[in-house]
Amino acid sequence: MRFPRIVSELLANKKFVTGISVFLAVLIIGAVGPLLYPVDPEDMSFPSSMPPCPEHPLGTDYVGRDVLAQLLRGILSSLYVGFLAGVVALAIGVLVGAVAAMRGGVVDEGLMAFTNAVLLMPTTLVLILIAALFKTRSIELVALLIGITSWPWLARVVRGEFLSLKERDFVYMSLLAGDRWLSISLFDLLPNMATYIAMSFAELVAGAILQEAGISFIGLGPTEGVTLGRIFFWIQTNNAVIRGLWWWWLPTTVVIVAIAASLVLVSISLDEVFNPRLRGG
Amino acid sequence: MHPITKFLLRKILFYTATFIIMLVITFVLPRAIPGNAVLMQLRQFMRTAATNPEAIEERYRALLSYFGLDKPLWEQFVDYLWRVAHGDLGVSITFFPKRVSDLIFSSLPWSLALLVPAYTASWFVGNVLGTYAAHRRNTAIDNALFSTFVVLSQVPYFIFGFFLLATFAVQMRIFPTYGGWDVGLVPSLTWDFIRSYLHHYALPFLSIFLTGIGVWGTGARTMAIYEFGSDYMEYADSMGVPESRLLRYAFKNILVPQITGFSMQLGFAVGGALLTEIVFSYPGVGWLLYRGTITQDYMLIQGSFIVVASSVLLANFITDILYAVIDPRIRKGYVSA
Repeated sequence: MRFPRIVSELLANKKFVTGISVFLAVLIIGAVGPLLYPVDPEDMSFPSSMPPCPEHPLGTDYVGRDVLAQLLRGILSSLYVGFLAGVVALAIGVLVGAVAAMRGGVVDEGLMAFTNAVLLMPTTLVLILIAALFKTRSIELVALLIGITSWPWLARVVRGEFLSLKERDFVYMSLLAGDRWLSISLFDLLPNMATYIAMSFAELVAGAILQEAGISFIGLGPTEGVTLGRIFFWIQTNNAVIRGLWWWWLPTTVVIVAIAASLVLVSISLDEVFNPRLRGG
Repeated sequence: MHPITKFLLRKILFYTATFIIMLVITFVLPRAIPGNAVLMQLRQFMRTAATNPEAIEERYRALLSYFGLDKPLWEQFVDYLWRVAHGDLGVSITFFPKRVSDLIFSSLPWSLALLVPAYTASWFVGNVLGTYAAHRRNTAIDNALFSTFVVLSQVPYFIFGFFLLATFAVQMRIFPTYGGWDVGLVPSLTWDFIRSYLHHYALPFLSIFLTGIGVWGTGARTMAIYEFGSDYMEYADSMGVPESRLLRYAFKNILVPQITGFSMQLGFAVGGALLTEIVFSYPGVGWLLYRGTITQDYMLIQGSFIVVASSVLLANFITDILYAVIDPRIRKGYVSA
């Protein structure tokens, strides 16, 4: 069992430690925060545009909502969006990439042409186009839409990895032993890409959280609940930056960048630890 | 067949197919999703019908005739293709009775003027800085550059725009907070207008340029680390080749994959740039789209999508051809294993 070595190698990597600590800190704040600070984020009964004070540690927004309550609720919802979208994109990406590589021929050509075509589409605009057709949008719907538009580059990577792995000796051994391609894919090939999958998932989650912020910002995000993206929409529609309500927009931007950057740092550090060509030096 | 001809034919086929897929998607979506755009607009018309019944009747008819829902589906599709081919993207509901194509094409030049220089400059500077950081790997300079890259690469352009707007427009009052040029000016090639435009242009440009450096910097650094670890580099280094020349070697080699990156990231960057326009009320397609989305003007949203997606496709097509010119392997018909 070489698990402990992996752990110690990861913990020796400064980027990994920084990334994972920041991410866990934000996660814990998002999970525990709303319980410790049970203020309704949509309650508009407070005075408008109040700077931070003892009753409202991060002040109130333009329409009299508590900013800290908003932010705490937004963290968890945004992580939820990221996670759901990440799972959806991961599933599609791995499936398309694996099928293309294993089937080869026309299936491969067709799937890859489709993948490249989707990759060329301006994702944010595709999301805007689809989201505009729904009158109400739940958080899950938005996450699903983000997931089904963000898998193409993963499919390309998975296909490449599968193509190089499927010619290895251990695959021939499994074939000789009578295994089918499906079980070979699942039990021989996928575990060999565990690092890649983990890295991609972290990046997909980060990307999805930012994407949600983008489409919510233009007014087509979830129509219920508080996500970080919806806070950005309120910030924009109420001209919070021009009005100088820094306690509203600054913490929200810091939190979303911290989440995304920490996840990407984890992904980069995984590459450094497990990729021999990047290790050391 | 000459390899170049074959390459070009493949590309033309691919881009034509992608363009058709895009048109099919835009055709199918509003007709496939229950509670679709037309019904949504209709509901809205009913709500406001009390104030101005005649205007509403007119808009409703414009919308209905564009979608042509009373005709058979294949006829609707042929109609739709015919209209798009003739640049007819329908009539805007918000800016009735202006044509969507007119609205978009008067905003598009401003969007291009913002995106193209900012995106290209960030690509170039990011790759140079990334290569440099890779060569100085694990020194203080690399650590500083690398952490800046990682953070910047995860800041959406529009969010970075908040910082710039708050610091340089609201706090320091060096730049304007709003618009593309001073109120009262009309776009023209006069010194007054250009000065006013550049004054409004600086912050949106910097939002895209500075955050873009992060994306290209992280990628270039990783690629250049591979490059500096290769035998020919170690050899050149041991021969005492000066640093500036080593950097140039590495830069040239990461250039080819980064040109692919340039075109592949474009679709993403366009979306980001459009959102940035909203922060600064910069009069491009993004600002137009924003006003369209808050009033649920589906015609405007669909039209913007078609125009922007087609432009991205065209840009990619041009990059692919440039790529063939730059990379001798494609020119000579080399097929990778």
